[in-house]
Amino acid sequence: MSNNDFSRGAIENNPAWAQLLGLCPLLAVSNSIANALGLALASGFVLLGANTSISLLRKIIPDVARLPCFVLIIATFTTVAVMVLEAYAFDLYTRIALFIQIIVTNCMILGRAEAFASRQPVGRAIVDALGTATGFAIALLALGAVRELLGNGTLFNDMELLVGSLGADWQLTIFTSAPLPLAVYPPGAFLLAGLLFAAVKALTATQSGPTAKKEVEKETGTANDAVRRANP
Amino acid sequence: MFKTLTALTLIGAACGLLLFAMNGITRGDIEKNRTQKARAIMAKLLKQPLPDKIFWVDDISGSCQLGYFIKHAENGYSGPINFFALYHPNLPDDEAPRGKTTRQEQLSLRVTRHQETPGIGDFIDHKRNSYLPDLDQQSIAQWQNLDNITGATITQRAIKKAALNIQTRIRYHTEKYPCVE
Repeated sequence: MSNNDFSRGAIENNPAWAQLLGLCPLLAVSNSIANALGLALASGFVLLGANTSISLLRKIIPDVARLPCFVLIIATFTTVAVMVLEAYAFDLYTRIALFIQIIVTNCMILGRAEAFASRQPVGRAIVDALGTATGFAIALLALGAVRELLGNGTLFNDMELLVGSLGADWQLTIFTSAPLPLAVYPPGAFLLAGLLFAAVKALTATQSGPTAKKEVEKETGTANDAVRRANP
Repeated sequence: MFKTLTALTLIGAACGLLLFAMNGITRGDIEKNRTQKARAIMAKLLKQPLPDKIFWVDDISGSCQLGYFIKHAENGYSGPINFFALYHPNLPDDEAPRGKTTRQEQLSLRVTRHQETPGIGDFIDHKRNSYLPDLDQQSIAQWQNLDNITGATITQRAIKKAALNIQTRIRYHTEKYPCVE
């Protein structure tokens, strides 16, 4: 049960490539691994805190006012994340502050609160939060790594912003000059995210094999039937 | 209705308590980080080391000879912009510092906090772009000639207004605390 909750959030229903949620911060902040990891940790913290609290409080949250309650709880954890980053990772905070603040409007977090945490016991809600946060982190880090590599020719640049002096020597210079400088700019983010999501889809379809093909054919057939019925 | 209100109050109170506690834990470090950042900007603007203690009155520090540091906030198109400014007022000959001819008013600006879209408004960040440092030590009249800034938050109107308001604040300040060498 718990393993399913985790893998569903991380892989099958991945918020980034399967549900296309939280794309604004994903595209904006993933120009380096350090930024991507910072946002992934902050989003994960908020998701975990919100899911846990909402699941614990699910019996006292009034149904008619559940959305304001969810937003209040998510906003509280987002503010805590902002405070912690500003206090203990100030340089990183100054670079990604805006996108940390708008975690509160991230559909991924509100979606998990509404669809899962508000209906499930706390254990499952925590596992679901961990799975979804891991999935979001995988997408962020993959995109961050590709963009940093193509846009700057490096990997793990500026990690000291996140882990202090320990990360100062982590930088790997793969290319002396950037192969594709566009990658660190917003258009590059759209292009690379599109290619990455397409690659994941293709990989998933290959692994699923004929079953997925049959499902697609079935869905296409059903859709075509519906069109025929509407236009005899 | 009563049950709903009670639940909302309880949840609101719990969230408030958590924020209050976190504020207590992080406030010191946040203040320290902001002060360090401000001091680094001030030292670079002034091009000389700063004294250990800096005294602020109404978010203004300094003197007419040395120049005034001002913490200023102005509303941009969609959010506040926080500035740090170094302003040298006009000085007549007899008030100019010895060996110097700081007579023309000069204003240098740095943006310390904003909510501009990263990637679009990066030019305003002095760490990423030399746009603002290139405009250092201009007169207020020269700042009013800006005509090439468009962002979601940072606009030329906000920067022009900031320059004028900073000048006004310094005028009030020097009326209250006249120049003494």
